Amino acid sequence: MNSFFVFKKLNANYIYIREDSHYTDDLKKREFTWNGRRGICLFLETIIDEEKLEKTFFSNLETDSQSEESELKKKISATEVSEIQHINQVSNELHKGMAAVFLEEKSEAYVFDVKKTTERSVQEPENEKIVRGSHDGFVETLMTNLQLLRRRIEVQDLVIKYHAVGTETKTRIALVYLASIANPTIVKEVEEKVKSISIDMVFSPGAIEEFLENDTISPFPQMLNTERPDRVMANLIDGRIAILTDGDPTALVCPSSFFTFYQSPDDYNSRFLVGTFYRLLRMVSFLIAIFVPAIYIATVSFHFEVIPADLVLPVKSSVERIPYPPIVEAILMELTIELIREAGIRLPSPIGQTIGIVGGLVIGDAVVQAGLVSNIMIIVVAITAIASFVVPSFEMSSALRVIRFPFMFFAASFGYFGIMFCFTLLLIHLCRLESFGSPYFSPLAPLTWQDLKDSVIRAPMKKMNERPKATLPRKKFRQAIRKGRRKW
Amino acid sequence: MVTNNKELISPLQFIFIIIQTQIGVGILSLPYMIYESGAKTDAWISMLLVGGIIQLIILLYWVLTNWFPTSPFYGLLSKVYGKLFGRALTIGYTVYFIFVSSLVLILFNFVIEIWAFPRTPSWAFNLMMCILAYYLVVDKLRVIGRFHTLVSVLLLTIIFLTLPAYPYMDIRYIMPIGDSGILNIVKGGKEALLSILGFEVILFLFPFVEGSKKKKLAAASIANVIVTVFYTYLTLICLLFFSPEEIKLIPEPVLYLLKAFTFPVLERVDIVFLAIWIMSVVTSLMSYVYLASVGLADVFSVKHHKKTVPFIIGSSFVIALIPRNSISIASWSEIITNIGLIFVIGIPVLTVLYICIFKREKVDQDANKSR
Repeated sequence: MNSFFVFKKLNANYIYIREDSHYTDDLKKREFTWNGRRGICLFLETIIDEEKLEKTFFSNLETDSQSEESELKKKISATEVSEIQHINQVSNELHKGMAAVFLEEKSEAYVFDVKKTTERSVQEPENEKIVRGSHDGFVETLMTNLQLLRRRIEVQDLVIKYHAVGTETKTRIALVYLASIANPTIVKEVEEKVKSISIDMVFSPGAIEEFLENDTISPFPQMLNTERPDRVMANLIDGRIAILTDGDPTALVCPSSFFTFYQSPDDYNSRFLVGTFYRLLRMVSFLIAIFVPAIYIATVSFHFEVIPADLVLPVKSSVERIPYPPIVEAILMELTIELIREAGIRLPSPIGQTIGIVGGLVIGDAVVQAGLVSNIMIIVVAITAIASFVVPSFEMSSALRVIRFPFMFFAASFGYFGIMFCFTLLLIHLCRLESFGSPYFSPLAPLTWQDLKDSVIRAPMKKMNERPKATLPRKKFRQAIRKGRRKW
Repeated sequence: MVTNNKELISPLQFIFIIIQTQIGVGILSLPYMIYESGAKTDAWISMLLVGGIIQLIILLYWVLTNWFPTSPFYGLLSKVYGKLFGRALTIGYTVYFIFVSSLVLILFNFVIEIWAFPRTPSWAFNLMMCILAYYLVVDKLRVIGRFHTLVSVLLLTIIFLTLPAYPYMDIRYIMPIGDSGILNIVKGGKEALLSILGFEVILFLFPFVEGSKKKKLAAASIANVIVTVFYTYLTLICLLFFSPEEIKLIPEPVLYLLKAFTFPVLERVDIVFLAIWIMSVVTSLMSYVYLASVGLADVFSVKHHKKTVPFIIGSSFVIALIPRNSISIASWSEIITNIGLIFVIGIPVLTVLYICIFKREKVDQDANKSR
C-alpha cells in the first residue's frame, strides 16, 4: 500500500478519505475556521460521541480568543492527541472511533479519541452467581473490564498488554498478569501464541481458547472461562494470566488446572469447614456424573450379584418388565435430559420453565408408566444430571456430560472392567494433559502436597500461605507471617 | 537416552513406579504359590526373606549405576562389553521384556476368564490393556511417573478391603513358626522372588531420577520395603484366614478371602476388587512396555522411544493371543520368569564382577569425566 502524506488542500484530504472508505455514508465533515484559516474535522458519525466531540474540540475553538498565535493542537482537550502525517493511516484511525482535524496549509492531521461507548451496566453474571461476595461482573467493553481489575489490584505490578487479533476485525485483546508473580516463560509463551493467531475474526473467547490451548481434541477445557472480576483477580495473584477480549464479557485464565474449575469464590467466603464440604461435594459430583449411570448399567447387565440381597427384589422387579437392555434405557433417558436442557437454554425463561416441567415431570412419569424405562433408571439419570450441573464452570460441566457416554457404552459391553478401562484412560489423559507447561491434573498428578490445600479441600486462610506450584510463580509465599503465627 | 529424555522424575515418582511395577498380576495368587512351593505356613517368612534379598540386589544395582552416573543401563552395557555384545544384550533384554508384557496379558486374561467373563474372547481385554499401555507409554517418563503415583491410592483400598477378615483370623494356622524348615522357606523364597519380579525397573531408571545418589538409593529401598510389607501382609492375612487344608485348594486366595464377606451396600467385594486390580496389572504392563521400547529405541538408535512403542505393544499382543490352557500357562510363566532371573540378577552380577576384575581403572576415569 503506497502511502500519501496529508495534503495541504483540505478538499483533497476529504476526497481521499472518502474514496479510501469506499464512500461510506456515515463519514461526515464539519468545517471551521481558526485564526482565519479554514479547517475540517472528519469523523464517522456512527461510532463517535457528538457531545464528546463538541466538548473536546469545537467548544474550545469558540471560547478562546483567536488572536493569539498558538497551536491548534492545544485546543483539543483529549488525553491523547496524535499528529499523523500519512493520510491512509488517518482513515484507519477514523474507523476506530477517532476524529481527525485538518488545517489548511498544514501537512499534519490531529487525531483524537471521541468514541461513543454503549455499555451494559456492570451486573452479576447470570451463569456464575454466588451467594456472598462481590456482585459485579465483566461487561462487553474491554476498558470497563480492565478498570474492574485495576480497581481490585492497585499496584504497578499489574501489567496489561494489548494485541490486535483478527485480520478483518482487529479486535483488541488484553493480556493481564502480575509481573512480580507470573512466571515469565509462561507469559512469553502465551504472548507468542496470541501473536501467532491468524484468523479473520475473533468471534468469541472460545475461538481464542482453541488457538492457545495445547490439546484441542481433549474434552476438558484448558482455560478457565469466567465473567467474575474477583475470580480473575484471585487467579492473577496465584500467578496466572488472564486474557480479555473487547466485545466479550468472558475472561480466559491460563494456565489452569482441573481443580481451578472446581473453585468458586463462595468457598472462600464461607467458613473453612463449610467451604471444604462444598469443595468435596463438587468432587463427588464429578465422580457421580461420570460413574453412576455406568455403574448402574454394568451392575444390572453383568454383575447382579454385587447388589445386596435386600435390594435385589426391588431392582429386579423394576427392571424385569422393561423390554430393552439397560444401555438403551440409559441412552434414551440421557438423550431426553440433554434435549430438555438444550431446548430450555435458549428459550425465554417462562417458556424454559414450562419445558422443564413438561420434559422432566411429564415425560419422566409417562415413560415409566409406558414401561419403556425403569424407575431406577429415572432416578439414576436425574441424579447424574443434577450432579453434572454442580460444577461451577459451564465448560467443565459440558465436558462431564460428554465423557459419561463412553463410560456407559463400555459398561454395557464389559461391565465393571469396561468402566475401569474408561477411567484409566481418563486418568492417563488427565496426567498427560498440560496447560502452558503446567500439568493439568496437578496437584494430584504430579502429587504436590502443599497444593492439595486449595484444590480438593479449602484449608483455613492462614494455612494457605504458599501459592500453587503448578503455575511456577516467582513469589512463593502469600503471607508475610510464616506458618500461621498470628501477631496479636 | 539421557539427552532425549531430559525430563527427570522425582524420587517420589520413582518409588511409585517401582511399587506399581512390582505389584501386578501376581498379587492374587502369591500366597498360594509360596505355600505350594513347600514353605507352607511359613510363606510369610519367605516373603520377608525375599525382601532382604531384593535389598541386596538394589545395592548391587546402585553400585553398578554409580560407576556410570549419566548413562542408562542399555548404554552402560555397550560401554562395558563393547558395541556388538552390548547391543546383543540389549536385544536380549528387549525380547525378555516383550515376553514379560505378554505374560502379564496372559495371566490377566486367565484370571478374568475364570472370575468374571468366561465367554468374552481374550483379544478384547488384551486390546483394551494394550490401548491403555500405548496411550501412556508414548509420553514422557515423567508422565508415567505421574500416573503411577496417582493410581497408587488404589493400593490402600486393597488393604481396606481386607479389614473385615480380622475377626475370623486364627493365629494357630501359622503355628509353629518355622515348621517347614529352612530349606523349604528358601524354596518358597524363590517362588516369591518370581512373583515380585519388576524391581529390575530400578536398574533402568536410576539415571533418570532427580537428587543425590543417596536419595536415589533411599527411594529404591523405601519402595522395596513398601512392596515387601504389602506382600507379606497379604500373605499373612491369607494364611491366618484360611486353614492350611483350605489354602491348598484355592489358587487365588486373595479373591476367595474377599468373596467371603458381604457389606450392607456391596454383596460381592471380589468383583469390585478385580476391577481395581486391573489398575495394578496395567501399570506393570506399562512399565515393561516402556523398558522394552526404550531398549528397542536403543538398538535402532531411534531418538525417542515413542516410535518403538507400537512394535512392542503389537508383538506382545500377538504373543498373548496364542491359545493356551492352564497347564501350558503355568509352564510358560515358569520359563519366562526363570529366564528373567538371568536378566534381572545374573547379568547385573556378572557385569559388576567383570568391571571389578577387568575394567576398574577405565570405569573410574569415566565416572570422573562425567562428573
